[in-house]
Amino acid sequence: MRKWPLLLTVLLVLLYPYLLQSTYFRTIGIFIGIRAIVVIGLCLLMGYAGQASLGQAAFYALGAYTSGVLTVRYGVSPWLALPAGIILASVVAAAVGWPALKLRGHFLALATLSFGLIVYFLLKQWSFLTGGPSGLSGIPALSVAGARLRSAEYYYLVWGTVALVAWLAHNIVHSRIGRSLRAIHDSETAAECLGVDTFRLKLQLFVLSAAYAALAGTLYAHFVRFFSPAAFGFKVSIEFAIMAALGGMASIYGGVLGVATVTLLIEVLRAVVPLALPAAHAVAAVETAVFGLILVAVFIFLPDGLAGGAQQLRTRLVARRAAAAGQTKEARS
Amino acid sequence: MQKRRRILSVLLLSAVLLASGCGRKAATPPAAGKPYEVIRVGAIFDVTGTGAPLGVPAEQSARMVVEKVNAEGGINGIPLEVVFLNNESVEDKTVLAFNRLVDEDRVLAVAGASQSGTTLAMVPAATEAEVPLVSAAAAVSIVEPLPDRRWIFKVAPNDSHVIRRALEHMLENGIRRIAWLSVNNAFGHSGKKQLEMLAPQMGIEVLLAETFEANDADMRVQLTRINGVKPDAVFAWGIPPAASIITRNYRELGLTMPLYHSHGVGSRRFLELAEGTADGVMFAIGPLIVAEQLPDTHPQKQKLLEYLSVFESKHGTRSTFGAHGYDALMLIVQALRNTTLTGDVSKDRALLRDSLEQVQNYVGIGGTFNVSPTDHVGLDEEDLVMVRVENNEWKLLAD
Amino acid sequence: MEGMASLTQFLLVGLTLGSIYALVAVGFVLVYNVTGVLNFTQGEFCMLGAMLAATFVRLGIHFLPASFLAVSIVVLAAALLERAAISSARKATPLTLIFITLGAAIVIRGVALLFFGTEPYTLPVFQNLRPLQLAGASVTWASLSALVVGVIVVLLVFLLLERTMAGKALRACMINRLAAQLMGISPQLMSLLAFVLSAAVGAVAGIIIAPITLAVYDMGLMLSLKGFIAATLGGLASAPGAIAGGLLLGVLEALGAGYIGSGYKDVAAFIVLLIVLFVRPDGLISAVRGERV
Repeated sequence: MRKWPLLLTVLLVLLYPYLLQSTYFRTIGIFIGIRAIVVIGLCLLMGYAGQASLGQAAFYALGAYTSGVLTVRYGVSPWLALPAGIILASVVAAAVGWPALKLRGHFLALATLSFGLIVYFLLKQWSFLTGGPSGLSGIPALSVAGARLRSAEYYYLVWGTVALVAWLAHNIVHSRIGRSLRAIHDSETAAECLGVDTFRLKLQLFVLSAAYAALAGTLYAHFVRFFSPAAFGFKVSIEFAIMAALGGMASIYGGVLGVATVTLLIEVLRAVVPLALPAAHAVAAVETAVFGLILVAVFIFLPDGLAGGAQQLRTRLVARRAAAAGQTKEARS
Repeated sequence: MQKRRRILSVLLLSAVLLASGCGRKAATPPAAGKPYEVIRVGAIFDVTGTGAPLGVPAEQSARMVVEKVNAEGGINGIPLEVVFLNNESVEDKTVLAFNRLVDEDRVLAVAGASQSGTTLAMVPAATEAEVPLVSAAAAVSIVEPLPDRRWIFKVAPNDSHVIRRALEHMLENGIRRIAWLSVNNAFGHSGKKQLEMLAPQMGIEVLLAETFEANDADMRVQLTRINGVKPDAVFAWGIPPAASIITRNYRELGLTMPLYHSHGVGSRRFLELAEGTADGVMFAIGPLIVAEQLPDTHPQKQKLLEYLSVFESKHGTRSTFGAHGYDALMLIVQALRNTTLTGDVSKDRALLRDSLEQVQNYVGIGGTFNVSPTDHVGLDEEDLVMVRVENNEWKLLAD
Repeated sequence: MEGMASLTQFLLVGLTLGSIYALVAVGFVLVYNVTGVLNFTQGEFCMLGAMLAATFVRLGIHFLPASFLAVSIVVLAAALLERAAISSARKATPLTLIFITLGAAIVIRGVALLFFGTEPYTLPVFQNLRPLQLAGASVTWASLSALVVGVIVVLLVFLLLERTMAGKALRACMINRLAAQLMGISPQLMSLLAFVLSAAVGAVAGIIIAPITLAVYDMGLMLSLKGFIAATLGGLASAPGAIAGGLLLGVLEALGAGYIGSGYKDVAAFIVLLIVLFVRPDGLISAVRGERV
């Protein structure tokens, strides 16, 4: 009973590139997958460890730029650049997280935000390496055994990675570590009293979420094959946080749902609004306002995000069904 | 829980499908003898976000092209349809918009974007999908290196042309040592690279190069540093509002050496926002903004006045960036007129690309275009003029 | 001598920028302490104030009534926002409330884009006045007025909090929400009051910075960001802290640009910020006062 909806979701993800045979829809699917990897990491950090990060785009950038710079400037194989980006992001995350995670609440948010901005400005400044504000072009496409990955294959590579990353996150959440994590989220002091090394755990999760973001960044780099620091500004960090919150932070699947909802919603609005309005800036204005309204509405009515809302609905349905069953029983007796 | 999620995702997916279906016209078989019922072309401009000062006039001008072409009977008798999309000045959204135009709308070519960064984001996709792309942005790296840019063209003058023209003007006026102040984005960075290459060649020394962020509120710190090295002139490279703030701060600090700007200040907005401080500012630019002052023998004059009368009656004051949107789409139209279309979209894209490389002596708004397999811009610095602001008006400087 | 003049100039620019950040930060702190919400629509209030005033002046209304009208509209919008989005989400966690304000900021930006378009606006107030000369550096009337109006606004807010009944109730809420409620102060009403007050401060801030920075529909996010940084730097606890944080941030940016070079000015400012955070984990001011627990 509980298994088959998941199976259907997996089936839908698997069949998607062939249900809609167009690069456009595959690109949407790929973008959702790439962002989902970042947001799953963010959900672990924010939803389970209760630590807000507003600098996730910086780690995403580290992954993308390590891969981009190594392949373009030094001719390194993308498959070797991938682990390099993840390692670099992890090391940086550990160095930043060490002092930053001692901060609480909004001060941590401020520290991660500042870190994100430092990385962003350095990417613009170190143009001998990064290409500066003009961006980095000529990044090679990924290929396996000499054959270039086309959009459908890339889609499966990305979603295979999403599955792997989600599985890992799922295992962490449902382990002893996961229980300690939830304790940190509820009350850090209480958790510490129970002998949980909260700082160490938080740091580990911070590094893990950075590694996820870097992994996603590498996949992004070899897919779009051109990017500039503009793709990693603090607006992007905030978007990641919004996606995580919208889906429901205390759920790994909620993160994926949040990403899918935001990405698809924007594309739907872009397709529908111009049908009603002629002027270009009015179209953008209405798209923006409607998008914001939907965000606000979701947060007001489903404070635990879409996944939390779905959970509530399910509980209520089960309760109603139980009540209905009870009534029929009574009627019979 | 998962069931709800599934239903939700199915709902969303079908909404996307529906939406994209709505946008698409039903495919009707073309009339006998015509390869298409309508010729469909895509256009992506930076209508909102940081690129809006460039994207808005470009999009308005491109819409004028559609009206004009269809009023004149379309392209060889077939009406032109342009699908306009806004990339919100964001690279990811540009890629998605481009893929939508190519796959869903099956366009023959794409015009845009207005900024170098958003254009470059489309280059790999355009090359891979084999769709001609005509950009309205300036950076040289959009069309170079040529072997990798088979499918890419652009209509805005190269940064190097604008800089060389301004440097020549400096040399003529005895200016040898300058300071540079550029916006810290793709536009400014590209300009800076060209300057560092050209200035030494032309015997001009760059004493100091400063930058500012596009949304910075005050440039007096940079200008104070610049004043410290005592240059003969200052060369600023940005667009309004920042370019206007620089000009105001320049006067506020009482700096008196000549102030040069880029073609980025070629809109009325620059003068309005500078609030009377812009007098004396000089820049190299396409002839559009001073069309009335051109000699009657100028090959473009008639065309420019015609464009301006339509644009200004519809959208108010002129902007040099409108020219790039107009030319980008017009270049595609021009090439389409010289192409024998077959009705097979991918074959026609390749034919259109070949025609684009052969556009000769096309008199556009930004200049007279001569595109070739070795030059995907087709403009040179002869197409630029020097302009100085006098009494808050543009004044064409004699050569 | 020349070095001295440059330093004066850098400091003056820094203080101008800083007073902008400080005014945004004051709004942040007001709302945060009464409601526990980090209100990311604060920058949008400034944007609305600036854009509305500029539009009215353009329509031929005199600067002062135009400003008054603009502030009134922003205040109404803020009241509406508080009732519709914040008040109806009482049970949401502080984190969710932050996301609500982020969403609301997107809505405001969209509406602004619809009405004002993408073009930057100017608010010509001091255009005919020559800048003042001060120790070899120049000060414009616009930045001078930003400093003066900033001080006046902060004094007014201070008087309101100290001298009026509503202000005392607000302060009670800022100190201890539960106790205030037990004393018969309605937190709902106080939340509304805090939003309205911070919106008024925000709108005034927008109007006085428009002649310096010019106004454009998407300026709000950057202002919110800088305001948030300034407020947090100042400990998030008090208006004086917010002002100190704002001025510090502005001066840091200007000195960074002046002595390290403009390319690294933001990097330098944020690195200093990080160091400050790591050394004084509760912000500068509260570390001095040791008020917050």
